[in-house]
Amino acid sequence: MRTYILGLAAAAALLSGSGLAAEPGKLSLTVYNSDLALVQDIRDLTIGAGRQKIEFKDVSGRIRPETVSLIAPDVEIVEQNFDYDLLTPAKLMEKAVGKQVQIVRTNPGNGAQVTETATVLSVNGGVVLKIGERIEVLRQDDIPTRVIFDGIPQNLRAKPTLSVTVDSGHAGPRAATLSYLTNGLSWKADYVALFDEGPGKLDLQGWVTLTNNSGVDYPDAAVQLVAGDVNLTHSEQEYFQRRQNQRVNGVRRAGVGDVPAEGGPQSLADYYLYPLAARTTVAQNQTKQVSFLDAKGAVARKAYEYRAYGFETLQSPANADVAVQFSNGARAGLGHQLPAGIVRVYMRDVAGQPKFVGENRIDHTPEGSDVSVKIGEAFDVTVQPTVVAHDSAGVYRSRYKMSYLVRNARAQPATVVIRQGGLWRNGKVVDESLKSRRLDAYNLAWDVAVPANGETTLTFTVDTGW
Amino acid sequence: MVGRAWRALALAAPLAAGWAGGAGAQAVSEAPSAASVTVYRDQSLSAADLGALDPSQGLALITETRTVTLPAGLSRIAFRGVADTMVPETAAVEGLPGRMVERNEDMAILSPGALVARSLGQTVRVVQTDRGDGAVSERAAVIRSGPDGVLLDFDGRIEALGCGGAPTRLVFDRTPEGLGDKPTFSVLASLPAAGRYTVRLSYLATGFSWAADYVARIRPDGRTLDLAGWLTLSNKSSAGFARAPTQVVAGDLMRDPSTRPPPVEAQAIVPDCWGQTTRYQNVPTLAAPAVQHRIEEPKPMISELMVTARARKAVLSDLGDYKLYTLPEPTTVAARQTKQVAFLDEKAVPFDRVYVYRRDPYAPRDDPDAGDAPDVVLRLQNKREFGLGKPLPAGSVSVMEPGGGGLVLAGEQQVKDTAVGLPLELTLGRAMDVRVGVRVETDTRRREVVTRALAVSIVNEKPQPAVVEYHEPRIGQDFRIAGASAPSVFKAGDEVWTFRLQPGERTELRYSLSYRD
Repeated sequence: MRTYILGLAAAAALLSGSGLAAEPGKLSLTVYNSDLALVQDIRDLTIGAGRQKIEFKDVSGRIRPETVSLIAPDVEIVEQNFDYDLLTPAKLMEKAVGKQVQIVRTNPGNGAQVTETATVLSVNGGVVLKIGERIEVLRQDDIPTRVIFDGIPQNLRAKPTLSVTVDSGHAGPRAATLSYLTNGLSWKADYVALFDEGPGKLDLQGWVTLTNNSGVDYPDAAVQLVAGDVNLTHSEQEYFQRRQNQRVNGVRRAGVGDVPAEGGPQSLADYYLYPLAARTTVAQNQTKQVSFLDAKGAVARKAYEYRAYGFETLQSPANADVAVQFSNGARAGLGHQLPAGIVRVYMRDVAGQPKFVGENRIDHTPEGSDVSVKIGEAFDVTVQPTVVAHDSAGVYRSRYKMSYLVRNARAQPATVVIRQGGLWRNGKVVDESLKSRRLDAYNLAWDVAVPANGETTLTFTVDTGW
Repeated sequence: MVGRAWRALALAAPLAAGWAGGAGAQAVSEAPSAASVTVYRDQSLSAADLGALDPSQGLALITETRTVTLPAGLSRIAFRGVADTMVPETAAVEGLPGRMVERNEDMAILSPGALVARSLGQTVRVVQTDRGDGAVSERAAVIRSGPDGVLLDFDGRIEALGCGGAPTRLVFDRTPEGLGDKPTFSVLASLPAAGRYTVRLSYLATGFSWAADYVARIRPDGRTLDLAGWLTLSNKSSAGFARAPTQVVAGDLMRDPSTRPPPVEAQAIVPDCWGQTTRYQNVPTLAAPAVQHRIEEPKPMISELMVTARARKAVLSDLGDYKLYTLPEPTTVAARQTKQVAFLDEKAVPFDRVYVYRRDPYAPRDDPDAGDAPDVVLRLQNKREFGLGKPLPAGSVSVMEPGGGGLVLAGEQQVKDTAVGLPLELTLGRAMDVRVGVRVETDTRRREVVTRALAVSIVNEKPQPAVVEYHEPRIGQDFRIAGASAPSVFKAGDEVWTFRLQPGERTELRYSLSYRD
């Protein structure tokens, strides 16, 4: 199974080459599998001439501030700050050290209020005040005391705020692009597979499941999802430097089918891109699902398998694994690449109702692959291995005589694949009751046909070094 | 690989053409008109273990029928009254014509903290009641921070909420948009025509489980037993489904740990007044998977269940490679309830009582005269010709034996899933009147080959004949029985000698074995 890894350079191409970019007043999100998203926010900003500070209050609380870039024509960035020093009563008091506040005490006996002006001396596990010439600890007597501050310091904010100091060549409105990486946004694929055992068909629905725990809403955003296990730490700095140099004119408006021109072949790593076709609001604390695949009638089959990793005897039978196998090829299969996710398999019961029969993860799966999803263990198909003999066969060699009793209590015949591991140097088959397949140097497999309501015993003898 | 990426784009493009923004009608489906429940087994449990499950364990497939009246065009339909343990990404909605644009699970819920958090920068009313004269005063203020420490801005004078001693409350003009009492599952659909639609909503939910428990009553003949099976349903979610067709699935399904309800955050308003006694720092938010009420469930009294008259049994069918039991009639699986239904009632199943002793080759060697008690094992064949032949889901078996004028619990055991055709062994415990004494007479080793001679004495002090099996496990390479006073057979990795002893009879087995170490 091939895995499609997205290089960061590809993300650069994606940003500059996608049709999502550069629509003023619009937000776009590129969400990765791994708790990461690229937020691109294009706004019409009215910027005066000269040096000034621009604030963005509604950025993600889990922004990675080192990845922020603001790009606008004729604007130079002087510095950018991300203030996450959030306003709380404790922080407000700390910032008031050396300053004057008013305190209002209410006498619990008669309700009389006394207002005094105090200087905050320290805030270390309690507030020490200087009132006139007296030094006191705030609320040491538990008497209700109000503290009145005459303002909130500039850098204490109710929400994380990004501020950028810029130097603008001229005054006037223009489109500015703010982009940054943030944690707290993630997506995965969820599949619903309806397996019809009789005709050997499988219908597969795929859903993109997008989760937002980043702390803010993304209203009316263009969303695209990138499939791949992204490792961004190596090249993100390089990427954002390049973005800084690109300026806004570097953003190309590419249509469907257009190939981004910049970046050599090495910068276009393999990836899958899933744009949501319409803008949508990704709300905080929301799980959003959008369908991306609805394929019917892929050729599929059920398979029984038992894997023995060594030579052992079981006192009681073990249940065989059940897997649903389907082709992802264009002709007999789904003909669609499958981003990694969870496949939940359903089968119809005797009344025709689809019932859940098991779930498993699949990796990023390109078109043309054969997919096998283990859904559970067969109630009625069991395997009982026995080491009949374990004899020495020379220096550092053993001879194992094995028997596998395969039982099938179903009303239909079954074929169970018995896989025998545990072979090592010069492992070879001495004799066998059924013809084996050699999977590799260390593993053998037999297809054991078992009649309905019957049993078949596989016996074989192998020699192996150790 | 750019071509591949754009292909994906082209494939996805027809999905939601034409929808822009959150416009559209809003509809709410309050409750299902009917529901069916299929409960899966969490592990191989017995009813006694069900009480220890929490709502994030276990699984059920819930299928609800709902009726909604919708206009043509884009509609957002909120489904209320779903199980609180719903796993939203498993939901399927059928029965709506047209196109499903998206579906959402909004976990943000209305809580005191959320009310403050969503009102930051907005003006609220602060109402105070004077403790002395009861006078009520009201002032407008802007919320500057919260909910962990609320700062109020009274026209430029900043104060913390709730520090002045006077009873104070905040009055809001409206609830923040989009906050409900529970997490809300909704779908956004585009309908070609207005109408009254019957919708099928199905989803997986945690908190449901079931267990099988068996009672085996040995008949006075000592050779047959009656086997009754009970399935116990448990619902730890806070959802109840009245008169729902209910099924349970036996068999081991693959599960993924991420299939569980998302956490719900219920925030409180936390005061911060700087004082040493009332100052809070780092107050954790409450994150609980829905409602978590722990209740102690009584351990079901198996012996009491037996006195119920012949129960109506659950009906068995196949589901893929699993077994599906359909309860005889729709049942109400109430929230936080367990319920028991019979699924098996077999009479006069023959069994063999065997005393099994398996020698431990690695046992300590400090007592040459160590005598030991064999296990009492009941052997059944799960075949129709042996009076059974029914799938037996894993569970615990309580074996009752006549004694002292009534029934006595002879032993309890967990059994695995047992398909038709398989042997079934019930180990009751250690024998009282059958003894096995093992003496290793010689133990030699030459060039890696170990040779041992053993003498085994077996005695039956019972007033009935006894069948005793003596097992010697094969270990090492080149294991051989070099000589024995009686022939053995090879069974599941062991050399096995079988003796039939009359009451009071004693017998001796002598054998020697060798293997390469």
